[in-house]
Amino acid sequence: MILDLNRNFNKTYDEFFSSMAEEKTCSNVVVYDDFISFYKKLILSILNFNEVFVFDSINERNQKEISEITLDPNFVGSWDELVSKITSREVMINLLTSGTTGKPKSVQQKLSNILRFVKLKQSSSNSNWLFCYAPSHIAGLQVFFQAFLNHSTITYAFESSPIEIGKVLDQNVITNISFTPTFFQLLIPYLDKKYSKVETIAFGGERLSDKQLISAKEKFINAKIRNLYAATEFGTILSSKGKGFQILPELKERVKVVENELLVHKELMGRIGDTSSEWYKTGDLVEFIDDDTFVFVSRKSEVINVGGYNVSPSEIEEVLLKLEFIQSVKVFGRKNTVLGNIVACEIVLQNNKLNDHEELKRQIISWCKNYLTDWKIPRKISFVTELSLTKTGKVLING
Amino acid sequence: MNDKLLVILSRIKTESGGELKGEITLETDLRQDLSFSSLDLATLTAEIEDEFGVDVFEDGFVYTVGDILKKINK
Repeated sequence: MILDLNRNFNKTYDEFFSSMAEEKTCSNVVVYDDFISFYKKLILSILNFNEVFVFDSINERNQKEISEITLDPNFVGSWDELVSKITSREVMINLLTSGTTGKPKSVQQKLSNILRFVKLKQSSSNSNWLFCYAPSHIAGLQVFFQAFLNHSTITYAFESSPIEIGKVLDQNVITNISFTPTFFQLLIPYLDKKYSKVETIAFGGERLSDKQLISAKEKFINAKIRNLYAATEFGTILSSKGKGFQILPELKERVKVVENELLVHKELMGRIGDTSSEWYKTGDLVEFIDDDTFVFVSRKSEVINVGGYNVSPSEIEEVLLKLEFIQSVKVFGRKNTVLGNIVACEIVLQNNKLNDHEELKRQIISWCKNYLTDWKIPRKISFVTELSLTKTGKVLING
Repeated sequence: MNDKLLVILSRIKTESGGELKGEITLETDLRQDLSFSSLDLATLTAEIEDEFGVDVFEDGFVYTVGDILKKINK
């Protein structure tokens, strides 16, 4: 079954399969309209074109030239044939990045890279995936194919409200969840229970804070929690049970750390323009906690230079999130003529309470002084009702 | 003396663990008399910019409360 929670619409796999077989034409350009229709069109395109272009909306498609073909009525075949075709096709998929730190850019990825970690398991047909990623971006595609190729139930929830998602979780039918830490953070106030049926949680797309990991363990008491490191440019390459990551043995020759920055070999990359360099600089800074395990510290582009001192926003966010009255926070640099930058932050309070903000600021600064050197203490604190997000559900860093 | 500016100066002093003592005049020097550090001055710039829409350090250093008022009142 594929359920679109937002549109209150669903199709069984037989119905989905039949509707694909009924299509007369398909195109190499796939524009997102609704979840079920989008993936139907995407699968048809993958089966019939060597290069497919995916867009979030008609506006983004712009002048992209469309090719359309007439479909053979019997081209889909049986379910097993469909799975075999999808997993063996040599197709290039053009996707947009999330735009977390700037304008989204186009990346070309092999379908086989997107499907790199998809596991086909018989038992998975009983699973029910809560799908909380943007469908037309790489994380969404990865989760979709993991669930779809295993005939699992998919409950599409990315466009739904936290209240609706909370109600679905209360029904205790969801077994697997994939979302960004921010998406989970926004759900927390609506999760009243402990959800024992959830077997796996996969976080990805952003840094996972200690507080978020603790909250996830408290709510999803039986779940294996994985923290995935992935990007549109190279797919998923690292996985972790907590905060520390290790490079997978099979990728050790193609992923390395140089001067604290994670580098990825071009063999793992999709095409993003200049491919002259052998190694792609991810812009992600890491710190080793033992010989093989490292944690992500920050994006290189996020590092704030305060009077010559480099400050990592994530370190400050971790400190601030220890305060019980803070629900979520974004730390960033604000340009300053005296020191180049000062540390600023936007804070969402728990339950968006109306409080004495000046008193809260005093408490926050006093708290920070216990953990942070002067340069790292936020000098500009704003209280907001929500943080700016990208359309893939991540905190917008330069917004 | 601008009351809003006094509130800002007092807040910055309190947040850095101090207290605004004595009379504040146009000749009060931010560093010598109020012991403002670089961080305090950086915060002051941001607060004044948000309150008055003026970056008082944009054209060069300011030294006294009077220098700030001149720029705010321009």
